[in-house]
Amino acid sequence: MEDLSNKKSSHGILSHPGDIHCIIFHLVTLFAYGCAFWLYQHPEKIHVTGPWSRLAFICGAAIMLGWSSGIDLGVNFHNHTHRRIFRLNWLNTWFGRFWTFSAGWPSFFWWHAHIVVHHSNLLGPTDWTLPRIKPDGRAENMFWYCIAHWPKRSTIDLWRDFTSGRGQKGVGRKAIVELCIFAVLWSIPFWIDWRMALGLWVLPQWFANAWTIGPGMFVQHVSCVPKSTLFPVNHSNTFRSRFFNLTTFNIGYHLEHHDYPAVHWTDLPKLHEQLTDKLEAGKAHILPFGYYRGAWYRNELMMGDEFAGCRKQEELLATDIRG
Amino acid sequence: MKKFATHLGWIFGRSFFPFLTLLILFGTMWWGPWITLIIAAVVWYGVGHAV
Repeated sequence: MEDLSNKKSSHGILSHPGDIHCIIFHLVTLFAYGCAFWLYQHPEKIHVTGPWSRLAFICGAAIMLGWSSGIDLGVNFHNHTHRRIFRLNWLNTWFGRFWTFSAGWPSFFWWHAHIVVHHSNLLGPTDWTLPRIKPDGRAENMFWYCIAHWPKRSTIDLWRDFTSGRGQKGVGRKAIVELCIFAVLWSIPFWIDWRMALGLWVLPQWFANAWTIGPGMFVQHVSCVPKSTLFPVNHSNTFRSRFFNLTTFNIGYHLEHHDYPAVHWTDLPKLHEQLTDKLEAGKAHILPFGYYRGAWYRNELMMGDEFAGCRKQEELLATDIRG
Repeated sequence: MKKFATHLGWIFGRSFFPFLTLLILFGTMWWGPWITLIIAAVVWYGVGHAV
């Protein structure tokens, strides 16, 4: 996979020409927040005549802004944590700070959660980003996981990590600096109008983290086992819906992404084709839909006996060995 | 021209949801907040079940 993982631009401002899509996605998302704020400040233009119609606008806007923000953070910024989109370090750092604040995260915090906690310890005991596993081996309730993950669990676990120095030397100090920068940026809508900030800033961010990112994180590794010699490709699930992958930067190719995180997101479908034989031989979980169909119908599609769950494979293998 | 249209298509495809968000937000100026709420709920429900 050398030809896919090491491909980088040697000129221009972008590391890869495909990253222009990442920038456009984020800028349009930020612009949408700005438009929502402006419309809120001009209620006569959107036919808002009282508290109920104002609430209707807030709820409708929060769903759409939250949906876009969830993809913007959980998928789009996610690409940046693996492969910096600019060739200039300072630009990567500052663009990152202006990237994640609109989804309620300091960029360094999300980077830590994803790279240090999740990728380095996939399905291990210290990967607190994933759903908790019950004593019977099944994942916790998805809705509870979605509600609990942000901000409650993330805050507690990040506090624990940063105060214990997990990941790198001086991580606690760096976290404080990044939190201060985040606080300044994140508070901007509150300076304009605190009610507007609650409805069109905090509420969409809650929606983004709980209902866009949460179900995705739940299904990416549900019914999976840690990578091992016996189960080399059963640590993640791959989702092949074309529409889903078109609109989410190919995040559906999740198994391939975890095995080759340095491969650019535009190359993941090609990588999937190259790995097809290996994935089929290893009974990889390759599903024809996207995350959200998987999440809504998780019991039938991804967690029941009909699904080729790795735990079931593990049990069958253990039976074979004993037999 | 064809190349330009293709690029434009990819841009709108990749950023489909932010552009749809903009469209729905500005559409509120024509159809009002209640239709916006209904459209947003249908989009969320539709994407959740179909994709």
